[in-house]
Amino acid sequence: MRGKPGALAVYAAAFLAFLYAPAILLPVFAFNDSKVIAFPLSGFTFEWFRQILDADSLHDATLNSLFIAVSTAILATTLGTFAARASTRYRFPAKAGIMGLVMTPLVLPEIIVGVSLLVAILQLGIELSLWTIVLGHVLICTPFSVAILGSAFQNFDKSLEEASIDLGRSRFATFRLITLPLVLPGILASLLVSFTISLDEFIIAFFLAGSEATLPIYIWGQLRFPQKIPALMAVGTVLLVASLTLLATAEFLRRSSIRRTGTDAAKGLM
Amino acid sequence: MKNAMIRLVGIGKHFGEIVALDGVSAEIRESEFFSLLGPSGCGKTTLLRMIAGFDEPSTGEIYIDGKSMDGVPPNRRPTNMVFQNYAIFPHLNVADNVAYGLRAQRQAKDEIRGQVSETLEMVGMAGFENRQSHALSGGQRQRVALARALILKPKVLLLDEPLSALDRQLREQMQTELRHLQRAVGITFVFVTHDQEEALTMSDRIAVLFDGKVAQLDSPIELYRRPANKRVGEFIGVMNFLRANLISEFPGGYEVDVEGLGRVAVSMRQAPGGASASRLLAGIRPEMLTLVFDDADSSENYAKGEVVDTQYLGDMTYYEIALDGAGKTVTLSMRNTAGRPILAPGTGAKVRWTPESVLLLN
Amino acid sequence: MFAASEFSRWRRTEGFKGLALVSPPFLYALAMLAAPLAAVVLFSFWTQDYLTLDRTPTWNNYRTAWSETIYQVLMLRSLKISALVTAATVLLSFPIAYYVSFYIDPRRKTLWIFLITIPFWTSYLMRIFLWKVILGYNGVVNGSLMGLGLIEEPLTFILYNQNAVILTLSHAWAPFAILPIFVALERIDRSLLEAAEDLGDGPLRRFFRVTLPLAMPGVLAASVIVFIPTIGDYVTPRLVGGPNGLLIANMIELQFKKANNAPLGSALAISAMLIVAVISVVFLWLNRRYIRSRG
Repeated sequence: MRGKPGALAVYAAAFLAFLYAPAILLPVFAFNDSKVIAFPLSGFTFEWFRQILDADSLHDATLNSLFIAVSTAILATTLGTFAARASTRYRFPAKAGIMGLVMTPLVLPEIIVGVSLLVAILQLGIELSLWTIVLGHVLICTPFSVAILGSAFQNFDKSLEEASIDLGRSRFATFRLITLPLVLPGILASLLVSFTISLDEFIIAFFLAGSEATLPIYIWGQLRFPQKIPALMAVGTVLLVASLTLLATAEFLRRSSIRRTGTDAAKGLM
Repeated sequence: MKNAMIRLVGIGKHFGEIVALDGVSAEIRESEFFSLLGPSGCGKTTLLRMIAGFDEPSTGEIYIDGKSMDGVPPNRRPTNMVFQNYAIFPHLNVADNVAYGLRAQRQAKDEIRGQVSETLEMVGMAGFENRQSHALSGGQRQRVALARALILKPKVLLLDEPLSALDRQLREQMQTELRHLQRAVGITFVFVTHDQEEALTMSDRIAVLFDGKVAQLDSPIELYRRPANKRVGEFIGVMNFLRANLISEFPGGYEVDVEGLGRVAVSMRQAPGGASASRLLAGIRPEMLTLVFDDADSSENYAKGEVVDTQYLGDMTYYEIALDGAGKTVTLSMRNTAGRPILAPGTGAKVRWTPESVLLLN
Repeated sequence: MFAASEFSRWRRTEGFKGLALVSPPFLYALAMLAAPLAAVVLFSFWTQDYLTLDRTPTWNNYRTAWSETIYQVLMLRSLKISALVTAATVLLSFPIAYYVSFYIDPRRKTLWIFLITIPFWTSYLMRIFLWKVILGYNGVVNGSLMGLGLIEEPLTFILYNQNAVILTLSHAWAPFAILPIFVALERIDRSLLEAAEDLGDGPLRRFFRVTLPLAMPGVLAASVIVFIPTIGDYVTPRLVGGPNGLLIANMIELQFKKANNAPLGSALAISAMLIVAVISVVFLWLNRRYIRSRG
């Protein structure tokens, strides 16, 4: 089966270089002692990271984004738990249609989600705020949550819950004592992925934002000013490190869940 | 006679077009070891899950200890279950698994601890309290599952093929242990299995299920000796079937002509389905046929034939014998007692039988 | 009495429990997706004049959207670029998915997939901006090529045009194409390939007669996953597209925000969505027919 991968291996290396090109340049320019983002590099500096500490509007935007991302993660994971549980455990009328609608945002252009929510919200006379962004983000994060939790529930042995009910526990107690501890790694993975997606989302947030900016909206505004860009590189670097830490945690949880229960809680990540 | 612990009245279950159970009625008595036996897909597990409350019958009613179970959820029923894969909670240790049901009843901690160790001792797992559940062997898991259910002192213990995952030696050991345990606790056991030997050795009574219907409900001895029809006869043990024609009916029985055996008079007891069908079958167990080595035997009930195949099994020998005048061979088993010869294929054989061992089936 | 017990029996059925459980996410999707989409459809038949909204139904927005040159050009350009991005992404992604699926030690496959998805977690806006840095007049590509003496003058055809948009979008969507193709390749029973070889196929014939047809569902999924969303990206064309690289999504954004003409924006959005949906369905249908005719 295994032939010589020669040419393919070279291609794979080149492809990875292509994939990583922007991500690698980010920290390079974040530490480069020059206001111009170009080669050759001129020296090493912490100046741009120091500027982050002083930028009040950046801090506000970060706090806004954290608020949105945490709310989104909790709400999307809650909705995702309901949907994943229903779709893995029950047959019900119009299942394909209902699950299809819930998963639609995965293939819908984000601009459509943003525009339609904007129209609906303005028509209802609701003022744009951080919460309107949360509404949109929950919509696009729920399908990811369903995918992650779906595989966690799929691998979950149904007879464990039946045994608990058979031994005299209520449905709620069964969920709390048996189901939740066993799918917890999947739920945490879903929270982390939703959080990370929301934190970085721009297209929908741009439509649904009121007067308060999120982090990506702040970055978008700053991109117009060349002198601000080195500091943005520093912000981007911090974000990248934060995202990777969260994802590595999610991956670690997934593996520990495999070890603990023999089930793969977050297979949906792939 | 003991009281009925479970009454099943006309239980039916269909999933869309598929009929899983079709009008099953039965009574399961107090303190009896009752088996639901049948091939896979016969509806036995569905029936067990209905008694437990996990499935709802489409038609009919289930009564446990005189009370209708309609609308009663599994956690409110006086039944507990041992699952096929045991369903041991992987994140709890042995003691926490066994105490799981008791903790719902808000008993004192010391009380619970005492009952847990008592029950573990009863199933032969004393001292395993702190063992993690993933470190248990198959047999140990089964014992924990038993302890977890029995500690709640249910009126009925339901067992869903609990021995099918064990290797043969352990399975036979557990069969004996389960039987002893049942006698000791005196709880009604409802045991689902597809293994007829297992059902015969363990049960007080057995319901044989085919295609969602009860084909026969009887004690192991009756099931083996007088199967209700051909299908039950061949599902439980081995049975030879020979074509038979009705010659006459007399008070208390029938006279029939059986291929290879000749004329046989059978009593009504030997014809559980009567003799109304045009095509009758005579059923006879292999051990009810005997090879005759002594020419001086004066018995009149014997048939002649030829040995076609010989299977030597140590304590027993199985022969395939082509009887003169029969369309197919019959199987015959002989215990290998001292001095008894083993016939080689091709040898002529004289087979003795008794009319009492012939069963007339439709 | 009878009806009540029928109802209580139905309430205990699997169908009822499933519906009850799925209702929160379903109602959310109805309220936040289906209803707003319906509102957009409604809006597209209205007229807006600055802040006053005329609710008389009219086809005017669609007439404008489909007949005026500027919208035609943007729509066609968007479709062309989305199609090119899809083709480029899928073609570039297939070999890497194939490599990971067939040549990487099974224990290290997860690590490779993780490696491939990491760049995707760099800030979306920063990633696009960095392509500007890489492709720019004083950028990484030009700098390196001049440093090596391969070119005298910086290349200008690599930024602020449609090529840059295609490159940037292909980069952004690569993980979404690799994953479904990888999953489809992983599902192929390896003994089928051995059987093909055993029956006399060489590596090339085996690839085209067995591997590729079996991987087709993944390729199709990847195509649709990339094609549909790219039509809605207005950030990439704005940052790296230059004046001739602007797309229909930029126009939709403009109508909703600065131009204050939400009805025309709605008509454009609905039109764009309908067109990509129709193209996707036809594409999938043709492929299914093709696969069936060969099967």
